[in-house]
Amino acid sequence: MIFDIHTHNFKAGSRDLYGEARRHGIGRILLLGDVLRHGETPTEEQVREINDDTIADVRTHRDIADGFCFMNPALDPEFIRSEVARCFAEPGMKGVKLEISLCCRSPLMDTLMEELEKYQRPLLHHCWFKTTQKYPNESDPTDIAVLAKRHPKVRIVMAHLCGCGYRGVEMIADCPNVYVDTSGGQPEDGFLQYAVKRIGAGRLLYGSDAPCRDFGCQLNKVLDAGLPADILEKILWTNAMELLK
Amino acid sequence: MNKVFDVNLSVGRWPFRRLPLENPSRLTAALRAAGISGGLVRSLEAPFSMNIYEANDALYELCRDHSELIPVPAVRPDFGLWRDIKAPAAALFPSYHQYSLLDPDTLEMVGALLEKKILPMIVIREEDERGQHPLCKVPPVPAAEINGLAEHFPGKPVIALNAYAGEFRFFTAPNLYADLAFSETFPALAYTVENFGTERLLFGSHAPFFCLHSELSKLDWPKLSPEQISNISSKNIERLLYGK
Repeated sequence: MIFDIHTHNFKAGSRDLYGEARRHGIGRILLLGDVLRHGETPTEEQVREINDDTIADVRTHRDIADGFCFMNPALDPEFIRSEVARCFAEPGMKGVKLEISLCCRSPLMDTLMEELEKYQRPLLHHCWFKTTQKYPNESDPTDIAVLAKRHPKVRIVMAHLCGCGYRGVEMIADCPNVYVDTSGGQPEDGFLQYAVKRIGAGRLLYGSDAPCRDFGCQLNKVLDAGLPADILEKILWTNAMELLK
Repeated sequence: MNKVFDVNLSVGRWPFRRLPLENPSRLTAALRAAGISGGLVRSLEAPFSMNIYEANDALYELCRDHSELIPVPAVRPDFGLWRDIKAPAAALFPSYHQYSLLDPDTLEMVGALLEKKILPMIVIREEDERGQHPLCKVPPVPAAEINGLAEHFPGKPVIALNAYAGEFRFFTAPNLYADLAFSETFPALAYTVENFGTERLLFGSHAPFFCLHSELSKLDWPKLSPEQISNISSKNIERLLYGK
């Protein structure tokens, strides 16, 4: 079985996400929302609209999809609390996704992290070590490590292994509450093998970033890594099921 | 199963990290396991080597015992070896070697290569620019410049390697071919095939940087006909290399 922990339900221009997942033998996908529809720093109304769509998509595709609530953690704490509560009341809404609204070192993260700890739900955070094209508030693995150490009881998925690279894995190696998803950029060889050696298969999760990326291309990056079957099973299925139960 | 020939392979040593299949023995074993018959291979050292003669010598040495690997020597207009090379193709790294494809010296070199039926292969990039070493930011070769080069030699084939899907829209010259290694939309080849077609599209994996099976999986798309898959996999490049 395969669980893709990093997909986006874009409202416009997206082809058949669910059909493509099935075609590639993917049994479940996690919808993270149309996170950049309203730019880098969405308002409360815009966040609510994005979450309304994810909730509707999860309801429609419950046989294959779970979802995460999207949030701009720089918004008013009362809104954060109420919107998270609203989303988590929905079956299948299992955690929170953050993008590039706020660097996650910020103390403004604390309200959201306290809610996640209270509900015992995971955070999936965009992350990249970039030489060029970095967004002003984009988080890198050093930021994720700071957040993880300040909130050790919240499980955090650091997105984009291939964008974070070797150094990114090093940054979170001593943070047992940080997981890493395999998505991010081109299907580069070598990073996954390194991550398995350095932090173990128990903290790695398959993710494609579809439809920004292609299911088959990203899935074969995992299947092509020369890993034993028991490790593959953890990365492709077991770890996600345990994280989201 | 279709014959698959890979136009975008490298061997040697990339300066910034080790690559699992950088060794030609491991690469050829992986190619065989993936059902790829062989390919055009360039040097991982050539982009940064101060002496491309050395890089080319090392490339030929590495490929010597592997008949399925066809060496593609590096050329640049300010090194005179392009006048003497004998190979089916030559690799150009304009960004790494810091010249324009439209400089008169470059046009002279490319014209001479084409006269000798040597395919010029323009390497747009070797890496996603976002992941480059922070002290070594190499810009991509502008897609419009590659198209301009192809337009300068109408009817003569020019190959672009490692174009992002969005760059294909600049490739309007009918003699400009390109590989699929960096082309990944949803599904992977949707944008590229819709905007560029399949008659000039070539299978290139960009191994050992990229995973072979990830690149092969792009051909597994129901909208591609068997003929289109065959053209991309091998027929298009065979026409260029052997005229068949």
